[in-house]
Amino acid sequence: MKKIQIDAKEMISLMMLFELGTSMMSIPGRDAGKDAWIAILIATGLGALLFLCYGSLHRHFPDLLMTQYCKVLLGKTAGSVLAFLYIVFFLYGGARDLRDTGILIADRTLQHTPLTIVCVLMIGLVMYVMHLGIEVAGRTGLMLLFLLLLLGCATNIMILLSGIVHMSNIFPIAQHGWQPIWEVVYSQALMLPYGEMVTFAMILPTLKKSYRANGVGITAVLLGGAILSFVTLSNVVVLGEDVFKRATYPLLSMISKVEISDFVDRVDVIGVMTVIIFDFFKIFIFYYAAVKAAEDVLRVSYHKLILPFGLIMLVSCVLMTQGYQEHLATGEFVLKWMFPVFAVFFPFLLLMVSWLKKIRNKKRKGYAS
Amino acid sequence: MHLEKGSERSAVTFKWRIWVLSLVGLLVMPLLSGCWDSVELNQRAVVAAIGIDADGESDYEVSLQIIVADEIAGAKARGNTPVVLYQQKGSNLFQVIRKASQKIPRVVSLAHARIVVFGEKLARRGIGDTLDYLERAAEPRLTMKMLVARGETAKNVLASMTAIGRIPANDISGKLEASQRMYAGDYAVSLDDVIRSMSNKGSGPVLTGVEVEGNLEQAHLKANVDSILPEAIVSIKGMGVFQKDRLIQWLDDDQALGLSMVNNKVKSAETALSCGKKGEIIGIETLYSKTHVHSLIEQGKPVFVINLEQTGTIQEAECSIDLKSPEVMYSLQKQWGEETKKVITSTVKEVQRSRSDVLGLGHALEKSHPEQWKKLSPEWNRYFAESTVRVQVTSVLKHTQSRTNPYSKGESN
Repeated sequence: MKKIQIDAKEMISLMMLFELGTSMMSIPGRDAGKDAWIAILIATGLGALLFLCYGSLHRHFPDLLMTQYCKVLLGKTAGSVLAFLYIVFFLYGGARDLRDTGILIADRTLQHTPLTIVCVLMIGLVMYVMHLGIEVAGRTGLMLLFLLLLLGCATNIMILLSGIVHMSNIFPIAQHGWQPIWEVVYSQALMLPYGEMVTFAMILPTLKKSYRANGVGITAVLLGGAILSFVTLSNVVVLGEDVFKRATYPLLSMISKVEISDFVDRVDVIGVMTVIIFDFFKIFIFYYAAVKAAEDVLRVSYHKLILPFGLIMLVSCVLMTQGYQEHLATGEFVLKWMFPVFAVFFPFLLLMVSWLKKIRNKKRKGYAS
Repeated sequence: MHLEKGSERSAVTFKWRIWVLSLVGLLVMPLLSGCWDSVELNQRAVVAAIGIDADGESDYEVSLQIIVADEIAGAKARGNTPVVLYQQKGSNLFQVIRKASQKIPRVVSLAHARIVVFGEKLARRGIGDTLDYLERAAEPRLTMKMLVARGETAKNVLASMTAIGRIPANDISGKLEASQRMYAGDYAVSLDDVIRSMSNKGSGPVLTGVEVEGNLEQAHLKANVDSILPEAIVSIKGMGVFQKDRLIQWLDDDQALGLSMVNNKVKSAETALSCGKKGEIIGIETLYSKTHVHSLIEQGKPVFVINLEQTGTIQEAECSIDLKSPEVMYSLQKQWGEETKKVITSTVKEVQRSRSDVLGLGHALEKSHPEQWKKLSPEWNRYFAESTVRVQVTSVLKHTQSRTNPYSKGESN
């Protein structure tokens, strides 16, 4: 069988799509008000460090998936349990993002359409891409990211031309001190796009061997972070701190303000489309990671897992919460208590173990010779 | 033989594929029927303007100016009025708009509303409770322009037939844009501008004024536009200063111009300088105007410096004056600067009297002296009214249009 391989460009675009999906619409660190963009920049720096951890694990085991080296490092039983936990984590992440998209569409634009229908359509599409495989997703991702960046540039130009940019909205910087900024870095901004990048530990082995995973990952993290920070900044500059904090989707509120002398207006559809495409890839990547992990742990073939896992995600997405507020509250809890465990604690544990093993192996070799 | 077997298998998979495809097609077919939320264009009543008036102590009377699509589109036109004004009363905005469907045969759609007009009575009572629905609902836009009907109900303003724009809402919004661009004695204020300034401490929004000049009885009739000389005409007039959500004062002409200058809304403006002894005038057009507000602390009290730079051109010279000479131009520049200073000072005085910081001085203080702001902001109304404001103007006259000196009026040189 031909080995599945992804180009560096495609990997970077998948990572950026993953990073910007959902975080673009809900803006992590929004509680810091007009300083959210600084919080995001700081989180991006820390996120790059975090990725170094995943990347170096990958360097130790270039051909193994995360679930596979769990078993190598922690032994068969403990490794399998951890791998199983990660399946649940990936599925939960995917279901959450599916719900995020569902909420955006069902609660905002199609208010009388059942959420289930919206989610069925979305997951159906993701399942189709799952069926085609990650190489197709990579190529599509590259193309769509390019399109979205173009649209993003166009939107920014339109915003500038509409004359709705008020730079004074971001001053004074850090008015309430740096304390609230650091708080949101920890509680929201770090985990939402960057902690979730642990998912790529399941995908990095498909990267062509001629590229270095760390370089690719950090490029993507920094680029994505810069874009996210810029989007946040432009939200504040256009909407002002008060509306920015209170808007359910600041990005959409911002875009709805575009109006160039009766000629270009009502371009909201660009915003909705952008958000949906980003979310699509995020759901896909969680889904793919879950299926890959399960393929390894449960020893069932990839294609047989697509349907059941899709159904699990669909059902849990629909039953997850009653409404938006509950969804957000759960999200906050999860970002604070669950994500750090999966995104920071376990990977660092694995990294420590792999270092210890390496040192021990060296010593042994030393004795033998 | 081997080959035959192969082709047989491919035939089977081909058949299977057709079955699967048609099954998928059947499953997808219900989607074609449309979704739960579809409202076709011909089922929509497009609202062009929303008028909100006070009804009793706490209720509202809302007027929805709805476009009669057939009249606008042409072919099916019956020669009726291009818009209809529907009215409904109720205790809150959402209720009223939903209740209005008892009178409107289609689904009310606010997505294309361009202006919101408040009656003066309501504006004096407080507009705060009406804003949340406009901001929260998915359909209305943040870019809607907010106006106050001067001494009038919003209903009367929206019930006036207009000649150039067939849809009165577009006509009003066009007048507002034009006068903002040509005259600067008023400027458009959008919904989110209003909401932002509501949250500023010791401040409030400013809303544009609009009124009906002439015969109100005739304004709503089609006869109003049948005449070259309309009986009634809707016109933009001045800016209303709010404290929190209550209208407290109107600024007109020069004072409104001063407000535009301080808030950096001037694209082009007109100034009249006196010249000569017989009350002759030199008319100056502002081509560029930019204001910076700085704050200083002097003896523990905030002092504000409004720094304005402007360039202009001479559009009219009634008196005989040597416009070729640079010295004359310098003195005109100086005179223009003094005049502008006077305009701004009178605006500042007037606004300080109203105790509502619509000039954004508080924001300037917050930016440069956050500590001081923290101390003063709870009672900013009072401190704003008492603070010293200095005005500095730098003016440059660029040119004199197509003539140098004004024509000779036969006076002896």
